Amino acid sequence: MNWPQVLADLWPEVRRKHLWPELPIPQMGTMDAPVAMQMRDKQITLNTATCDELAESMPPEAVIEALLDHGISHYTRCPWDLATHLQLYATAKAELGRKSLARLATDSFIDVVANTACVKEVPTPLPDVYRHLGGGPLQGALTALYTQIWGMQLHGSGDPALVRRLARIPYLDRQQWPHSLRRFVQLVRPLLEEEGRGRQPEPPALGHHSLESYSPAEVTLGLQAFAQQAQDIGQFCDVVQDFARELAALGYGKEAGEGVGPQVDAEALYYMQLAQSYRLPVRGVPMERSGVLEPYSHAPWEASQPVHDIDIWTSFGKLLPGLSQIWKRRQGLVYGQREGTPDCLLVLDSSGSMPNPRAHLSEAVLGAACAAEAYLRHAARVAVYNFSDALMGGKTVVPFTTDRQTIYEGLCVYHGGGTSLRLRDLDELRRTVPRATPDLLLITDMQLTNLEDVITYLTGLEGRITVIHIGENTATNHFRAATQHHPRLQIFPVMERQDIPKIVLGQVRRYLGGLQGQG
Amino acid sequence: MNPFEAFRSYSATRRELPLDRILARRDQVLQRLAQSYQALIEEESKQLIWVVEQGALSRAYSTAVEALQGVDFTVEDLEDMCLELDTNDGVTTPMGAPSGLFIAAMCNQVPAHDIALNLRIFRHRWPFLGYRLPRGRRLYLDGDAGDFVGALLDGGEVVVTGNAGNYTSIGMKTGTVQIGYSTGKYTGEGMRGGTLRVGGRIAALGRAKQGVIYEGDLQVFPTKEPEPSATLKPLASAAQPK
Repeated sequence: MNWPQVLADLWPEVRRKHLWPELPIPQMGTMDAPVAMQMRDKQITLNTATCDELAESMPPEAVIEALLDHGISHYTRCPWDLATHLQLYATAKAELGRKSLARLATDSFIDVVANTACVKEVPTPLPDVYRHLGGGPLQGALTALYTQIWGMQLHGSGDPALVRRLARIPYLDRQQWPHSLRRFVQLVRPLLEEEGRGRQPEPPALGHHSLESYSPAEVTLGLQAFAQQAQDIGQFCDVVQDFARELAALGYGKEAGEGVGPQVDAEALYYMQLAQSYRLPVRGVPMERSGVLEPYSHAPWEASQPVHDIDIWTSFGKLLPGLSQIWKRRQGLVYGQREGTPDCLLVLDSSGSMPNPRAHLSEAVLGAACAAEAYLRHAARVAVYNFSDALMGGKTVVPFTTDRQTIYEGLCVYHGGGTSLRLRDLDELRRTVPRATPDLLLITDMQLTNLEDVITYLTGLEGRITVIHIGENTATNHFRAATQHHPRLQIFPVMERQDIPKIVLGQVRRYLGGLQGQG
Repeated sequence: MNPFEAFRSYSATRRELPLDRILARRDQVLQRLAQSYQALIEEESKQLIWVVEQGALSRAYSTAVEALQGVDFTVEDLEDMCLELDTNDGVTTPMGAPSGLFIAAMCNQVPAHDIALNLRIFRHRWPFLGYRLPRGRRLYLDGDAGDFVGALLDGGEVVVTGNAGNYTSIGMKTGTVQIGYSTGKYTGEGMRGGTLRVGGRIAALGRAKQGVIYEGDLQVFPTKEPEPSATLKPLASAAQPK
C-alpha cells in the first residue's frame, strides 16, 4: 500500500473538514510502541504497521482519514494546550497517586473527549477504527462507552453498569473537565489498576499524549499557565517531576546521564514560570544633555545668517532670503555615564524566619525572581547573595550572570537558621560588576542580628537600593525610620502575593515626589 | 471589487449524539432532585435547633419522601445527587443529618433492589444511611459510613465494607446490618430485632432490646453462655512415662 500517497491525497480534505488547523503535513513511520500514531512538535506520524493491520478490515482511505481526525481533534479540541493537559494530569494524579495509572487515565479521558467532539462535529470514519481495534479491558469498556454515547454498534465489552455511569459524564463541557475526569477516574479505577498490575500499563491503542506533542513555545506558555493554575508549589512540582524526561529534553533541566535519571529543578521552574506573570518595571537611569547641537526644525533663512546651515533639500536649490530654509539646532539628549539598566545584586534572606521556598510559595523568592526577570529582560546581569547566618557560612553566592537557571537555583536555596549579613561579601560581589554601580535589592523580614550595621552600610552605599520586607515588625519600623531621608533607597512591604506588582525596581525617591506629597 | 467575495459563511453540521440526550435527562432529573432537597432544607430550617430525636427524624424523613414524590430517578441519578451534595453541602446543613436522611429517602424510593454507593469518593460522612431501608432492598456502602447507619432498619440489608460510626443499627426492627470492620459507641442501641454483624471491634454496645449482635464470630447480644469445653484427656503417649 502506498500510504504516503494516500496520506497526501487525503490531507487537504481532512484539513478543510477541521477548518485548516496549523499543522504540518503528516507522515508515515514505524514505531516501537504498539500505537497507531504519535505527535511530536505538532508533527503527526502514523504507524505503518497499524495502518496495514486496520486496512485488512477497512478501506485504506478510511484508516488514514480516521487516524488524522483523531490526531487533529487532540490539537483542536482536547487537550488543546499544555496547561489543560497538565491540569488534567494533576487531577488524575491526585485521585490515583501512581504516575503510570494517572497518565493512562488522562490519555484515555482525553481520547474520549477528542473522539466524541470529532464524531459530533465532523463526518468521520473514526468509529470504524474502534470497531476493529483490539485492546485490554479498559479499551473494551471505552469502546462500549462509545457504542452508548455515539449510538453506533462498535462491539465493545464492558460492565453495563459501568458504561451507564461513564455515559453520564459531560465530556464536551470544557469547564467541567477536571470534575469530569475525577468522576471518570473513580469509575474506571479498577480497570486502570488491572491494566497496571505489576507492570507498566500499555498505552491507549491510538497512542499516548506526551509533552513532545507541543512546540517549545507552547511548552513555555503551558508551564507558565499551569504555574498560575496549580493549587500550590507541591502540585506543580509533583506534576513536573513526572514529566522530567520530556522537560529535560526540552532544555528545562539536565538530561539523563550515566546512572542518573533526568533532573529538573521543579521548584526553581515553578518560581521561574510564576515570575513571568509579574512584569516589574525597572526605572531607567536619567538621561543627560549631551551638549551637542542637532538639527531639530526648519526656519526661513535671512541674509544675516550663515549659509552653512541652509538645508538645500527643502530650499529647492535656491539661495533667497525667506525662501531658503535653515536648520534650527537644539541640544540633543543622550545617555549619561551609565547607559540603560544597571546590573542588580539580589540579597535574599533565607533564614529560619522565612518560609522554605521548596515547601511553600515564598513571597520573598517570588519577589526576587520577578526582580531578576525584570533586570534580565533589560539585558542586565544579576548576582544573588542568598544568606541566613552568613557570618557562620550560611550563604550561597551567584556571581553576576545572565544565566536564568543558575540565578533561580541560587534563589531557591534555603539555609534556615539565624540571620546576619556579612557586608564584606556584598562589597566583594559589587566590585566584580563589569559595568557601573549596580542596583541593590534586599529582601528580608528585617530580623537581622546586625541590623544597625546593615543600615549604616546601606545609607553609605552608592547606587539605587530597593528594600522589600516581608511582614511587619519592630525591626521594619526601625529600618524605615532610619532610612526615610535616604534619596536612593525605597522600601516596599510584601504581605501577600498581590503586593508584588506594586514594586518598582530602581525607584528613586524623587520620581515619587508627587505621590509622597499626596500621601 | 469585493476582496472578500470568495469568503462564505460556514456553519458546521453538528450531529446530535445519544450523549446529548443522556446528559439532558440527567440534568433534568438532578435539577428535580435538587429542588426536592431544597424543599426539605427549607422545611427543616424552620426548626431553629435541629436535634436528632425520633420526632424530628420522622418529620424530616416524611418531608424528604414527600418531596421525592413524582421524581423519576435511577440509581445513577442517586449517585450523581450524592456527588452534588458532597460538593455543595455543608453551609445549609452543618450537621449533615438532613442530607443523610435525604439520601436514605432516595435509597428507599429508587426503583432498584441493589444500591451501591462508593463512600470513598465522598468528602462528607453522612449519617442515617440505610435509615428505614425496607425489606427486599440491599444497600452496599463501600468505605467508612457515618453515625446512625442502618437506623430503624425495616427488613432491608445494609453492608458497609469499612467502619461505621456511633449508634449503628439504632432502633433496627428487622433485617441485617453487616459492618466490615469496627463500630463506635452505642452500637445496637434500642434494637428491636434483626441481625447486626460487626467484623472488627465494637467500641461500646448500646442497650439493645431484641435481635442479635455479633462481634466477629462471637455473639455479644444476647450473650450466650460459653459452651462447656470438652474434658481434656492426656494423650496416651504423653501419659505413659517411658
